[in-house]
Amino acid sequence: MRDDSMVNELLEAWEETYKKGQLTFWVFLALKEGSKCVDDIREFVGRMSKGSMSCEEQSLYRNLRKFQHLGIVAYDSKRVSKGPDRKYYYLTTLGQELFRRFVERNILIFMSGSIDNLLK
Amino acid sequence: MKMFTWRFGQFCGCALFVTLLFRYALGLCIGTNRGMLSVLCSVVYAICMFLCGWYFGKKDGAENGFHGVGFRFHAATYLLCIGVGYVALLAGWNTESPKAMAITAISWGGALVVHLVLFLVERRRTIKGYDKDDLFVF
Repeated sequence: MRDDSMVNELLEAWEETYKKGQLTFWVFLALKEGSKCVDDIREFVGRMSKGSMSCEEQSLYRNLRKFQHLGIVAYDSKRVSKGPDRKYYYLTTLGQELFRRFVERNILIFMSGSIDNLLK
Repeated sequence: MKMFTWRFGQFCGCALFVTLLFRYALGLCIGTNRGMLSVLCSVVYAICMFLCGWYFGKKDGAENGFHGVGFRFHAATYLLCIGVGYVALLAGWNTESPKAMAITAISWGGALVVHLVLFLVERRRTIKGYDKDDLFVF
């Protein structure tokens, strides 16, 4: 019982650190599927990560603005029936190349046979 | 790095207003020979400028996330304080002596150069003004 509590505590601490960096991956994954507004990105992240990842709206806006300044994402404004125009974000050529190389170096290695066996 | 953000512009406007107000009040104090009041004016002015920089600097950091170690705000404060001071002198307002103004400009300028060096060193840890360590962290 005590060990179980320790594992949970450690797991929470590890996940907190892990998720801070992982959210960018999930956001880029959402944008790789197609252009999305902030609500769509949040919905995609929650659904595809099976609820293990979530992001605050303000935090997402702030980071998308940062990525936009860096030329990783861009947006198109689209009219909606109610309220102001909605921004639909997408990965730029630089963003697509960045994501492709990141996945190649950091994600695809988990799909190699030897690592896949260890993870099972 | 986008140097002129909306919050930075707001800071410059606010700092200019406070500086003009200070110069006007200082002119009145010197003109009526109220030494203690002019010291009080300077203290209030310094506090107001610090609060302006603190407020808009924090907002700017939260909204834009630039890692600039406050250099833009410091440089703007220097230019406004010294610039408005010299304009007041040329306009014939009551100000401190030209010698005192020059000493302030040079000594503060030295501190600004040190800040510039720190800014340039820190800039090497950034990409387009964003801290590399925080770039992909939500």
